[in-house]
Amino acid sequence: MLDTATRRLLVAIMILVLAGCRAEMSDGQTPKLLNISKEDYAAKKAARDAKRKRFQKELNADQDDPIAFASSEMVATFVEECRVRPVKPAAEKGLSAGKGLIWKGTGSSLMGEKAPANGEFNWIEGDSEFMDPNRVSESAGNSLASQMFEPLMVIAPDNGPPRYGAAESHTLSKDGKTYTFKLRKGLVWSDGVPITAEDFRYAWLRGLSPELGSRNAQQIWNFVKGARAYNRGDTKDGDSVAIKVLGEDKLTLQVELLYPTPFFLDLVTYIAYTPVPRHAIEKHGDRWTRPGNIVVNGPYIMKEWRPRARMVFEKNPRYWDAANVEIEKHTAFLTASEEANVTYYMNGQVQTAQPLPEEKIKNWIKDSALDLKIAEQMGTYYYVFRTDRPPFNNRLLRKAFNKALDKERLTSFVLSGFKPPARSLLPDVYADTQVGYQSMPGDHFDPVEASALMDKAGYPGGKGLGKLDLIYNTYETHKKIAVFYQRNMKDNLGVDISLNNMEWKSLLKQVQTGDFQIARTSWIADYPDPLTFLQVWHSESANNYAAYKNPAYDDLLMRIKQTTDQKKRNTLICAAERVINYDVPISPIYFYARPYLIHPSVKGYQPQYQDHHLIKYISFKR
Amino acid sequence: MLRFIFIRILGGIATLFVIVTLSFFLMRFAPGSPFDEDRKLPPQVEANKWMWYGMGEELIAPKDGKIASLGQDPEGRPLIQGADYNEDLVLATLTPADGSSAIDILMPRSGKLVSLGVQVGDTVEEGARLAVVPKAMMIQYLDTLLNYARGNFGRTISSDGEREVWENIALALPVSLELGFWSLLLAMILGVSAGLFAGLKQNTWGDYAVMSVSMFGISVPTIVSGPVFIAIFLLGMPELGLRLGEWETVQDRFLPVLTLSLVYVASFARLTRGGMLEIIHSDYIRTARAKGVPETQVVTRHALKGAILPTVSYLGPAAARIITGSVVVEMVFNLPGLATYFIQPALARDYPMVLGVVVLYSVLLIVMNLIVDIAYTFLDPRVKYD
Repeated sequence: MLDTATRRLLVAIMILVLAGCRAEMSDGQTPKLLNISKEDYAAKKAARDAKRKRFQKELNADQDDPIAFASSEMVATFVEECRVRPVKPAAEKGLSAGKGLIWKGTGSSLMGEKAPANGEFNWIEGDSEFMDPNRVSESAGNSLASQMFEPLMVIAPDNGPPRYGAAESHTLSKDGKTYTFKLRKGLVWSDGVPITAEDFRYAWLRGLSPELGSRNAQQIWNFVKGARAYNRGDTKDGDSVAIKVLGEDKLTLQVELLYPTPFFLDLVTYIAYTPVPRHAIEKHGDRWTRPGNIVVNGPYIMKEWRPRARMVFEKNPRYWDAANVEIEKHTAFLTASEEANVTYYMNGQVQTAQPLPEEKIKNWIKDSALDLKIAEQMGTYYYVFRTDRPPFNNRLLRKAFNKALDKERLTSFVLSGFKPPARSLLPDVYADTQVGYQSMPGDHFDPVEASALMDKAGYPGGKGLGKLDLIYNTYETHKKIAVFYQRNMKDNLGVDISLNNMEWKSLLKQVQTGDFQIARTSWIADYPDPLTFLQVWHSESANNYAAYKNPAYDDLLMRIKQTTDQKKRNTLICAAERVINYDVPISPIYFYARPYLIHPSVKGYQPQYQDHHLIKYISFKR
Repeated sequence: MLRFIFIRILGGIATLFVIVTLSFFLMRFAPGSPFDEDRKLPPQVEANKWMWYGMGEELIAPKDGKIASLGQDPEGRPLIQGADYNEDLVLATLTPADGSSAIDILMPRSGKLVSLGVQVGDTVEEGARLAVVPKAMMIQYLDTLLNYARGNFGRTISSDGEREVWENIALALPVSLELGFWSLLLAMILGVSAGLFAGLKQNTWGDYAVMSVSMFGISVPTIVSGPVFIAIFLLGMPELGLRLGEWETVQDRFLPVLTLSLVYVASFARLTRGGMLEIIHSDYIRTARAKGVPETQVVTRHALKGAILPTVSYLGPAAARIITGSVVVEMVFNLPGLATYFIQPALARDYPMVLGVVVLYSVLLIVMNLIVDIAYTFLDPRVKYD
């Protein structure tokens, strides 16, 4: 069909293109020769050997049984040491971009600085199929339903203490266990029916009822007295749960808790603690959350709901603070695609977008795009060791593995560079909150000490360990981290690790039944208090995949729960962190950070540690 | 003809039955259950869920009595709620209150022990729940068939029972159908015209140009062309006012329909061109020309009908491929169609939702093929079904 000349031309073009590709590929991949002189090398080696000897001596002095966990005597020492621990002022934490922000752009905006003409604030949320506050159990659903249902207290936009929502005041009993909330007068549902404390009691009991079998019931029964037995179905009597409605006008709600819970006001901002409209539920049954049927008490009411597509909200004119709610209408696009999120934002369809693809984030950081901000989050990404059988029942081995991982390098070169490397279980965000606690870093990266630890654990150079298994769920970033980990363990400890990726449910099945050696998991705070992280490692916790059972640690947790004085409490939290650092059931890798795009004309959208944002605080700069 | 349709419908039902059966069991053989989550549910709550969805079986106390001991796994460790155990493993031993001999409560079959809600020393009444295990798979299967026969498609597990399977499908199906319909129509109009043109102008530059362009369409998958169109038309030309993820105005439909149809334009064009070439050289066309029938009439009245026959027979498979192909396009354009129900529920082990979508797609395909077979008889008098 084509004549010879054309064919030759085509071949020539193809060769050129291929050559171009090769040039592109080889660029930057030329191996760099290490240029170290012999003397330098000898000196370095001598220093290393000396250090190793020193550390080995230290190790040999340590007579603790490597199989046993930290004892109660040790815990007592930890508590003593924590009591006198100097606490650095929060300002020294070195956040470059102000409270709660790790990074923010200072260059020009991707979208211009003019507010959208229609005054709508549209946003992106993950998909949620729930909207019933008693059923919602993940962050997307919580974030969507929280626009419509208002609990007694609501989250502040800026990581500050919670503000009054449906309640106007509260009192706390001396023992710190009984909270009495006074509701605002004249509150009504969006259909005009008055709201009383009975609505709250009804909602909380409904959430606890075994028939509903709600996933979020544990947010209540972990704290409220009598709630657990009711949830298990041991009793059908709602009065056995310590939630009381008081007063002639039924506007007072009294809750008795199992333990003094200093963060209870934060806890009641969660969707599980909102009221639900009994009259609407009885009228429409399971379809009460559909547009048209739904009755709300918060600032917005849902007008359209397409699962996995979008949700449209309009202002609820009967909301008590409606006068101060500026955005009249907003749409949440429900997507699971990071690429789509960027398109939505760049096309002006939304004014804030997250999550974002890592490649794009790198570029925006380079350009210092004004729209990009990176907020700290209350979440830790870690590898967990199965501690109840060999080889990881050996504390020294776990410690060696933790020390052999170069987390700084991992976060700055393998990941996009904005995630803080983790040396402890608790993310270092509590210094800024009411908790005022500074996290206790554990082991630092040290390959020399790590390999000395391997010797002491009885596996010199990884001999005798065989091939170990690391499992993670299929995801590009998890894979990158796992490959880096595999390389680090091989180089620094001489250990071979086989990587096993599997789909999420399969991973869950394996970690929950204990069928693994090392597994990737993470923990995101359920409530803004360190206890949410510490509680995971309680002997009876369902999420304790490490099978870490240390009675001394359990005792310490109980003491934390029963302490009201925040300073004493922080001392105990510090001791608990020291126990985890000593026992190493996990190897923390990085702390979560949340990069998001926000239009420069938006006011009132501030970094929030749990990434909960209420649209009612948002307005546009005029 | 009626007989043929009847037989085809019977065949369709049989096919559907096989599909439902296969997908039901494949789904259950995947590891994990819908109730395995990163924050593990308390066993009691999980047990309630298994029961609520009709997938669980209660082991109840046969008599009033006291729990004398709890079982152990073969290695002598205490039983873990949520782990898998073999058939006939002793879960608990009950000492009846009437003084008769102790009764072992056994694992009825190998599988997961969802919950074991008793402790040593608990007094239990006759009929009280001691443990919950998943129902036998065969029973679950028959239950599902029965429910489907009754028109009950169940509630999605991802919504914790808040939403019905049918409700989700009813919202998403129109979008997917519409996307498929417009794309097929556009592909047919473009493809058939291009094919006719190329067939009539065989071996000219016009023929080469049209066929090259359509070959390009067939070689670029939608997962590539979609994002390219987004970059060019949606982000590159803001004055067009195109939007992502919306399905309301005509403009919203423009890009997804174009993307999806391009792949099929080429197939239609090639088939029509081939058909045209065959017909145009056949005897009856020569006869028509010899009679002095004008060329336009030769083409429209005599050649066209025969020329598009291969295209029609391709409509069935094309419709099928458009329906499945729309999954990618819907993902790329973030449309509120069925696509997301194709993947996410399977990963979440949302059994009712997955089965609902599989059944829906199968019914669509079976019906589509049947319609094509029937249409064939009208277009080609030689085809007869007896």
